[in-house]
Amino acid sequence: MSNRMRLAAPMGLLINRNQHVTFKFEGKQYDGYHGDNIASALLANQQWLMSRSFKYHRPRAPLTMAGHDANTLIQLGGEPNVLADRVAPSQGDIIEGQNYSGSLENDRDSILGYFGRFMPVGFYYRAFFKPYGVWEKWESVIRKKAGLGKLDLNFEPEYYDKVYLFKDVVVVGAGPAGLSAALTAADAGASVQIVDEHPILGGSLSYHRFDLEGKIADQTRSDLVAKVEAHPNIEVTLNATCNAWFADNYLPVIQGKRMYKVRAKECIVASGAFEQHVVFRNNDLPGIVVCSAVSRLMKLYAVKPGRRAVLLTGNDDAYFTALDLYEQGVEVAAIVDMRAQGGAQSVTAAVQNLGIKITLGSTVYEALATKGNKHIRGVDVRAISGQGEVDAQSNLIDCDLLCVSSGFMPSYSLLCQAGGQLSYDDETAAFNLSNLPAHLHIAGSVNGIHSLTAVIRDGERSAVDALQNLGHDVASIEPIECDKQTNFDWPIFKHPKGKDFVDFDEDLQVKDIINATRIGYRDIQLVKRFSTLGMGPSQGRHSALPAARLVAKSTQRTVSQTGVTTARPPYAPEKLAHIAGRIFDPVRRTAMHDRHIEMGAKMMPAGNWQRPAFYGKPEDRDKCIWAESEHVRNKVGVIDVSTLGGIELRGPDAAEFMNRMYTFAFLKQPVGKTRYAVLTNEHGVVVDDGVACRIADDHFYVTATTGGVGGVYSDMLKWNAQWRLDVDIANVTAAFSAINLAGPDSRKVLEKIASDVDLSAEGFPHLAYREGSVAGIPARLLRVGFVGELGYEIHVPTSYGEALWDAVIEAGKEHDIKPFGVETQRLLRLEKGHIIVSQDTDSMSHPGELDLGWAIARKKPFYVGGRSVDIVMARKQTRKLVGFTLPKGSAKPEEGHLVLSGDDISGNITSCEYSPTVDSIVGLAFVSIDQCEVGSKFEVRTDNNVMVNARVVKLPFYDADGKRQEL
Amino acid sequence: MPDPNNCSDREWAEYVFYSDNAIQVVREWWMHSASSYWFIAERHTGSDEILKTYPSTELFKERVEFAAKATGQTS
Repeated sequence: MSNRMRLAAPMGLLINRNQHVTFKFEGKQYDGYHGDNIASALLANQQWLMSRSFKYHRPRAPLTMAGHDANTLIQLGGEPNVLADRVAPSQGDIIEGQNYSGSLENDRDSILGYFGRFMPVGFYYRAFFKPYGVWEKWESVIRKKAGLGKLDLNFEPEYYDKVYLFKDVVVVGAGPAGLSAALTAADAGASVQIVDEHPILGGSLSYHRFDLEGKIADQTRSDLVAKVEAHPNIEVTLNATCNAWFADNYLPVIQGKRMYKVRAKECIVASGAFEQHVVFRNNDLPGIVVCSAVSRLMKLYAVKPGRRAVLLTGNDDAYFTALDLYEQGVEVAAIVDMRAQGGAQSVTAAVQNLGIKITLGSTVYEALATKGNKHIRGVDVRAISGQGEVDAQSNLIDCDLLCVSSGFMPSYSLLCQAGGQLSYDDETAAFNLSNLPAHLHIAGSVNGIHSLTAVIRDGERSAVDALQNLGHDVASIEPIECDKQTNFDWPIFKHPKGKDFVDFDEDLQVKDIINATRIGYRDIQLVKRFSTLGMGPSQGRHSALPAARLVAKSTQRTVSQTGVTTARPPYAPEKLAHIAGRIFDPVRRTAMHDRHIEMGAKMMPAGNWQRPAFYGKPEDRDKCIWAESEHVRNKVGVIDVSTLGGIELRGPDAAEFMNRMYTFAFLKQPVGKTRYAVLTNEHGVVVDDGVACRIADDHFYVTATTGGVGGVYSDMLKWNAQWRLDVDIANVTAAFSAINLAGPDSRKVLEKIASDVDLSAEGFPHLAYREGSVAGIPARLLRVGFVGELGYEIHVPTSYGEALWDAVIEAGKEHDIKPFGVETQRLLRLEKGHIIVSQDTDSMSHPGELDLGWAIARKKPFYVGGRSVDIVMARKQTRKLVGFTLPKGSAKPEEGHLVLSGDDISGNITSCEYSPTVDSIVGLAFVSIDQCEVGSKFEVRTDNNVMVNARVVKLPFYDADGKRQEL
Repeated sequence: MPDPNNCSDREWAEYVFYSDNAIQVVREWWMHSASSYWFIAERHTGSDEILKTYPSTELFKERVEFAAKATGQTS
């Protein structure tokens, strides 16, 4: 019969008993309700065993029912390492356990538990190495044993994305402190987002009992939640984890398949505190849970957690839990209170009135197990005789449920990531946080406040601090005092037979922590790295506090001095898919974009622009490119080069500024001429190139690469901020659209539409600059040599871009004009041996390696990178960019393929294509200085290790005299 | 920046490649990317706190000239 352990309403805040969900776990069918998570549905059917521990393969079951421990990691279909107490089952799910040999129920590897003494802390640093060669034998065994879960290598990628939010206040945690903080801030007019990892608002108000009658939590919760849900200024984000804190309150909030990137002016962390366990022998048995887990099970999922319970506590919370259990028909055998003086009078009386036995100043020394350690069956209770010491007298109590609470550890991760410091207060036996950056606040139990009215007031206080920072005129609230003692100072009872776990994820016992310090690892950072303490999925939520106490004692320091290990992002597991999810990725289109689509262009990204790669179908790529290039060489083609960077320099110092930025000489560049402009950085490395047009004595128009112009522009501004030359610098890339009309017939086409420019070879020679109107559009015209044919770059104001294209296509009809794309242009320029910066250059290539020495005016007083260029070019050169050919039909090298010199790597291919113009494979490559002589050969390793022998040739591959472009 | 025409190779290399990595207040160039406005910020490298920002004209008040190289004329 399924759902045996269900409680009646009003228990079950999250479940809908009218909607069933069935799924399989370890081959067996289970029936749960909509609103269950996998763990609650299993527990409702008395299936506690969910995993096997990492090292000893001990049976494990939920500890926190909140996803804060790693005992509930299961394999959900194709996805490993899913927390069963955080994820809802879907109808028909196939769920398995992990980390076992055979079955979860009968794990052959549980025998490892008996070999514990052969696996002391850090044993793997010293074992498996002798005799020589033994590691190869051990490696495959260990690889099979290590790792949790199975990857489905046939999975299909899914859609993940990002959303960008900007808020006045982000509140992390929707418990009483978070809810009251959010309301206080929102009431004052701030825009607020409240984030919580659970499916409902309320935090501890949804499961914890704050008063003897058990009424206050529900009332407070309904009241606060209703107000928050109705508030127009509050955005509620549930089932979401704030996974890190980055500078200036930059917060990644992960919800399902979405990452919110939130920038908050003020951030209030009300993330709560983790209930802590007690360390005793067998404290990891299924059926041992923290008190809040039991409350969650009953209140949220209507699951009866057992038949006969014992509670082990260091605070009053367990007394309230005892009342909850009693009301739901669980027999409460005893409350074992570690405190000699016991709890508050009122709770003690309430519990005693129900006939529940209270044993003071005592602890559970050992939990007794059913066969195979599958479940707790009883506890051995002893009187406490000293710190961590007990009397010899045993008192055995039968039970199938043990609820523990030794205190709380603040959920410190985000705060410590932000630079917050943890210090231990010996009086309260608790860590508290201080030294937070401005604009980051804490409230509630993470701030050490536990009584409900104080918690709510603390939430208001933190919101008021935030509002003051935002400029609101509100009166401060004094820091809240809370004298509720929640932490027992030494809930650690080392047992001679061990299995007294400090860290459940890593199976670390008390002796493991102490031995690490004895071996010499005294710093908590070293204890962590040596023992793996806190490195498992629960990241020290339960192990940090007892470990700090043990290491402090063992090294004779205070707990404050010992501390905890560094908190780093992410807080919870973050999938690469979250980081790779769709971002805000705007695409830029030129004014001629529609024409390219209409003409069948295959578009490609170039930086964040879209450009035509070629015109035709993707599968016809090579044919299209060869046909387009032949057409440009023999007739006329047109390409949209609008994306090219353009910078306008105006002022008396325009030429002086050009002279200082670029390597070439510009002071005497004649008006109406263009000049090649090479940019080096301060290291002497070539970082950009373009063409400089002198429009007037005090006016230059200089182009830059599509991807580089942004950087060139900001560098120019930065330099002139220092030089204070009299020049205006404007980035006009988007203000102009441009085409390159190229081919032997290009003049004939242009003559039809450019009536006021002398287009004769004498009137407009190669490398000249002219202005005029083309098809009535005001235009700048440049004759440049990039593709190596007679051609004109025509730049017009952007809004005329499409009209220019249409006019050129129309005028070109009688000359059979065809458009050509970026890939074709790359082939054409390659045939002329022209480099493309960042394709044929890298982060080290200086002008000498690129044969650009001719473009350097050595005698200039100064240009950016000049001194460095002098230094690197004076040294003995080590490599050079050369042109090479291979017979057509050879395996064609690709960009990046390695150039070899004997066994050594001496360079790489930077560009390589088959050239129909010269009917062989041509390319550019970096080779070592002793391979660069024209005529010498070098080996290239292509795909599948096929070696080819390339021959160095003098550039260019085509039209060495440059006659074609000078027509 | 040392005078590129009047310093040793070593001095020049140290200018290009070296940077003081001390915990202190440093003076830095910052650029507001939306407007491409360059300015100076003084930041404490330990806390990342920005202590002061101001226009670069407060530091760079005059036109900078580069003297011609010793060996030849300007071109």
